[in-house]
Order: sequence, then C-alpha cells, then structure tokens
Amino acid sequence: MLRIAILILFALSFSSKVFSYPQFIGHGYSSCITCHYNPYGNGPLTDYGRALAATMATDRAFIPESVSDEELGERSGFFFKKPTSTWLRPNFDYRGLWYKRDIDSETSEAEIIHMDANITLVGKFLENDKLITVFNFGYAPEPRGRTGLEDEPTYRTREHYIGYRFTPKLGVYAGLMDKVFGIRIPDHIAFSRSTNGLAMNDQSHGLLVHTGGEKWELGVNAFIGNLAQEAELRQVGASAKFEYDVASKIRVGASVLSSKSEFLERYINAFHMKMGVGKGSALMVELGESSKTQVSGEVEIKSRYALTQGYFQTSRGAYGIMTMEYFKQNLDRESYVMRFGPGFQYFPFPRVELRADIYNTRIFSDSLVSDDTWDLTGQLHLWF
Amino acid sequence: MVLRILLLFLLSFSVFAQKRPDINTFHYKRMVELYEAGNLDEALKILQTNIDLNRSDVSNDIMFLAAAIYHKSGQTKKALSTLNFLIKKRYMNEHRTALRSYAANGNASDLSEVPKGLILLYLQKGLIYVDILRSQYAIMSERQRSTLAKMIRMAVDIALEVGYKEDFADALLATLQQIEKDYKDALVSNNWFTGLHYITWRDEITLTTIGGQELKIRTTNSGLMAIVGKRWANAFEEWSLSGGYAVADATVGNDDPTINYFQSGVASSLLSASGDWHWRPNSDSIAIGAEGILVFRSGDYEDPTNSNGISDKTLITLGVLGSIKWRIEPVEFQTKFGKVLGMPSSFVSFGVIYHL
Repeated sequence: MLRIAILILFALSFSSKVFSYPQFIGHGYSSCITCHYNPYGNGPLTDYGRALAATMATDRAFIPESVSDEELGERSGFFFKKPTSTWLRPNFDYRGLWYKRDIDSETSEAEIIHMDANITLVGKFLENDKLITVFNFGYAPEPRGRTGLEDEPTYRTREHYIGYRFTPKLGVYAGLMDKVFGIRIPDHIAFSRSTNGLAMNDQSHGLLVHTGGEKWELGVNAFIGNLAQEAELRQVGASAKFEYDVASKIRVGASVLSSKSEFLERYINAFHMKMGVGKGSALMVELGESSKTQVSGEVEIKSRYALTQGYFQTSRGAYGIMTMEYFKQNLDRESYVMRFGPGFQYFPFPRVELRADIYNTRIFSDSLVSDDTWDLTGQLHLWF
Repeated sequence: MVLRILLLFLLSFSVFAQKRPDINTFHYKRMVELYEAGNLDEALKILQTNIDLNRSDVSNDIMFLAAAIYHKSGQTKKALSTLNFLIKKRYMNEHRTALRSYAANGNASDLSEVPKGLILLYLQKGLIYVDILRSQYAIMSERQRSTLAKMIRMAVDIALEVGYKEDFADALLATLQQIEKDYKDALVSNNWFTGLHYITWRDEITLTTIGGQELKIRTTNSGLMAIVGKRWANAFEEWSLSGGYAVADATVGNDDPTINYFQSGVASSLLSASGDWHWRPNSDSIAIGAEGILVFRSGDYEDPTNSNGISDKTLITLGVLGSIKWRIEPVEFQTKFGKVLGMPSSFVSFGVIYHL
C-alpha cells in the first residue's frame, strides 16, 4: 500500500512551474529577491535575474566568442530583446516532462507531459519598482492519480499578486502566491513539498510581509486558501520563515506553518540549511515534521521528512545533482521511505534548461519487503 | 606572454642611447633584426665574432641586446652576468641604494627616483628569473625559489612605483604568480580521514525448501558505517584508500505459498575496502568520481524450521560506486550511489567525513 501511495505521489507531483533555484547560493546568491519579483523565488525573473540566467548560469560552448556576456545579458529580455517598456515585463514559460515510471515493471511506459505553459505579465511602477503586479495564466495538466479531480480546469492562474516595497528591507505582497515555507526547490516530487501541501497547485491567496537585514530575512504569510477552490477545501492559516547567514554562503533557517480546512488541520515545522561550496556548487538540507489531523475523526498523523540535495558545478551551465530523501509517513509505525536520485541539469543556451534524473525509491518496513522502484525523467524548460 | 614581454623590451632599447657614436652600430642593427626574426644562432654568431663585450667602448644598448640574445639562446648565466656587468658599469650607486631601501622597507615606496635604465635591467633580470623558475621550480630549494621570487617582486614593485613599464611589470608578476600557483596546484598532499555514513543495500539470500527447491529471497538493509582512510590530493584530482565497517539490520521476507518466511531486525554487518579516484572540476571543494569496493557482508538470518535452511548468509563481492563530495575543510559531505555484484538494486551510502 505504501508503495502504491509513493507511486501515485510520484506521478501527480511532477508538474512544476517553479523557476527558483536555491542552489545558486553556490554563486553567492543567498536571497531569492535578487533575481525574482517574489521575495521567496518562483515565478518571473527580474531584469537582473534574466541577465544572470543568460550569463552566469548558461554554458558558452554554443555561443560564438564574438558575443560577449554583456550582450547576452542585454538580450535576455522578452523574446531576445532588450526591454523597451519601462514598466511591462511579459514572460512565457514552458516545461515538458518525459518520464518512465517503475522501469522494472512490465507495464511501465514512457510518457510525455506538458507540465506547464504559461504567460506572466509583470507590471512595475514607481521609483525603484516599488510597486509590482504579477499575473500568471496558463495550461496546467489534469492532476493524475487522484479521483474526483477530473473536472479540474486545465487552464489556471497559479500566481497573481500585488507587491509594494516600502523600503528595500520591507515589502508587502497580496494575492495568490506559493506559501512561504522551507527551501523552495524546483522538485515538486520532493517529500518536503509534495506531502506538505506545498506542491504545484497549492498556491494560496493571502498576505505576505517580507523583511530583512544584511544577514537575515523574515517572511510572514497569512493565507485563506485558493479562492478558486471550494470553500470547505481551502486551507486557512499562516506560515513564517526566518533565515540567517551564519557565514558567507551559509544560510540556516526555520519555518512553521499552521492551517486548517473543514476537513484537515495541518501543522509543519522545519529547519533548513543552504550552503554554497566552492564555485557554483551547493548543498541543501531540510529536516521537518508535520502533523495532519482529520477534523471529523480527530485522527492525528505525525510525519517526518529529510531532504538533502547537492548540486555540483562541473563547468558553467552544467550541474550534477544528488538528492537523498527520507519520509516517515506515520511516526507511530516503523515503515519509512528513502529516495535517492542522481541527476544532471544543463543550460546549453540562454532560455533553455535540460534536466535528467534517476529516482530510486526504497521502502523500509518491519512488515513487508518490496522491490525498489526506479523512475527516469527528462525535462525541458524554455522561457522567453 | 613572454614574447609580448620581449617585444616590449625591444621597444625600450633607446633608453640606453648614448651621446657618443657607437662603433658597432651596423652590427647592433643587424642583431636586432635577427633577434626580432627569431634567428638567434645568426645573432649570436655576429655577437661572438664581431663584438668584444669586455671593451669599454661597447654601448649599453649592445650589452642589453647581448643579454637578451644570450637569454633567448638558453645561455642564462652569460645573460645574467652581462646584465650584472651593465648594472655595475652604469648604475652601481643607484643599485646599492635601491637594494638597501627595499631591504629596509620591504617595499619600493622610497624608490620613485630609480633611473628607467636600471628598471629595465631589473625587469630583464626578472624575466630571466621567471624562466628559471618556470623550468626548474620543482627541483629548486625553497630558499632558491624565494630568492628569485623576491628579486622579481622587487623589480616589479620599483617599476610600478616609478610608473615605468607597468604593463610589463604586471605581466611579469602575473607570470610569477601563475608559476607559484601551478606548482602549488600540482603538489600532492595526503591526510588521514575518518567518518560516519548511513548505508543501505538490498540483498539476496537463498532459502531451500524441504523438497529441495531454492527460493531467492530479497532483504532490505540499512545501518551505519564507520570509515577510516587515507587521501592523496592535488588541486585537480584526489584519490584515496579506505576501509569501513557497518552494523546494520535487515528485513527479509518471502511470500511464496510453500514457505511463509519473514524476519525483521536481523543483525547484519558489512566490511568494506575501497579505492577511489575523484576529479575536482572547478574547485577543490567539490569532487566527483568513482570508487571500487570490495565487500564482505554477513547476516544473522534464522533458518526456518520447515526448510533445509538459508544459504548465502555471507557474501564476498565487488562493486562500483559513483561518488560526489562537497567539502568545507576539514569537513566533507559525501554521497555514494552504485552497484555491488550479487546485491539487487542500488548500494547507497552518504555521510560526513572529517579530514585529520
């Protein structure tokens, strides 16, 4: 049963629009707000972020030597152009997934899923872009493996909000956003995201206050659920995340989240660490515990998870990945799951990301012995 | 780099221009042409057959050119002695003052009045020293390296202080630093390390039924492994030999209808000996590589009563693991992922290593 649950979780949790790469702490970027409009990453990149993606994060092997990094940065605007408008920043984003689940299984078949194709419009106003508006709309595939969601729309907005920064150190954002919690890695399959209601369709309307100093950052997020959802399903609550730079390129943090719908009450807490190592490489660790209580039966299930994800840069634009995950769904039981995943991420040209991963899932139980599962994935990410 | 430096030098010869006419002007011009064309044998021939450097009427320009020709021809000692002779002949007092001041201050802050000709001679000597260091750095004593590097740095500091031939001085310093870095990068250091890893593997044991049927049963193992080893490393690669001992527990089960066998919490252990090689792609804080591993594992599996027992309770086998290391000295996080023969699925190990 546990194995089936893991497989289902795997199948439904790939879709991703996240464009936030916390491993860039290895390049010295410990805060997301340097490159993203959203202070906790995800969603559209700022002009600086686009230029950085086109230069620092992209291989030069296929770019003529006559084209300088400066030119690449300048051409990083919408459809290879230098932005002409002072206030409007459109962005188109596509992610496709090829995956072959449980490759040892006789019924295993490769599949291609268009995980996300969206357009985002960013408006920036006032001096130093103090006021921003972000609106995202696009295609999202029908959720898999979950009954009762067949009518879920295949077009949706995953993000729309207004943000105002009173000072560079204090900003307030209101609208539909991802909840603030833990390390926002792009892998929605990660237990830290998929089991905690922090996956690709779990955005919530709410209010985010973001503040910070030279070495610290704090975000407090009050949310009321996604208003497009039925009212009784909406998780209403709050989350907070605090991060502190203990040394250059080493950031530790803690997060809490508490929320409730008419059916489910959820409480999560986690500690995390992001550590830049060498030139462009990074190691990230997140340890957390969650508690889910069925409101009707008052059955509380406590879970525990751990995520270790290491990135190592072999050359500009090329990163190896090693992910180690642990998930104990019920602390009252002995069973737990571990998942190991070597992978490779490559940015061959500006606006193109390729990624390949192997996932080996192993179940540890005192009551059953089951075969490991092996899954293969390949991703194509384009943005214009 | 060196060619560029030499050309810069050639352009500077006029610094030594003297008021009285040079009796060897014709030979000088011809030697410059040959030098620039890289025809050093011919230039050397003219120098040796037509010019007596011991004569007092030989110009400074010719002596400087002679030093450059000797240097390029590989006659380093002659090049240096020619330059030293020129320094004594033309700039003895200034040279002594410069040496005294630089030794006293450790920098060239009081040497802004050093003549340009003397700076050229210092820089040319620096160029020769750089070439000596480049070819002999590994076999020189530390004292010799230090002496030559100090002379080069003095020449550079004075040139930068006076503001003369700064590009050349910068290039000379950069070359020296590169030589020092290359040597340091290639140096192989070694150290012992110890650490603790979480490890997990799948196993396959054989259960024989009373009827003689052999059933393959899979087990799931996890535990902690203590590791001790020795590492050798330079800036580009590292390799190590290590041994480990793991205490683990296993769950074993079979749902075959003929025998219903299940055990959890079975004590198992694993002894390993490994040799690995890792590449350090763009920083010595990161390493990716492969490890060959020799494994001896045993499991304390109980024989089911209605069977002829379990075989393969021990196993000696070999494996290959991919390995990645992230390091903030002296601590290192390491992950290993690979295949061990006779063990189905993957062998995984990750944990922390401390470098002694």
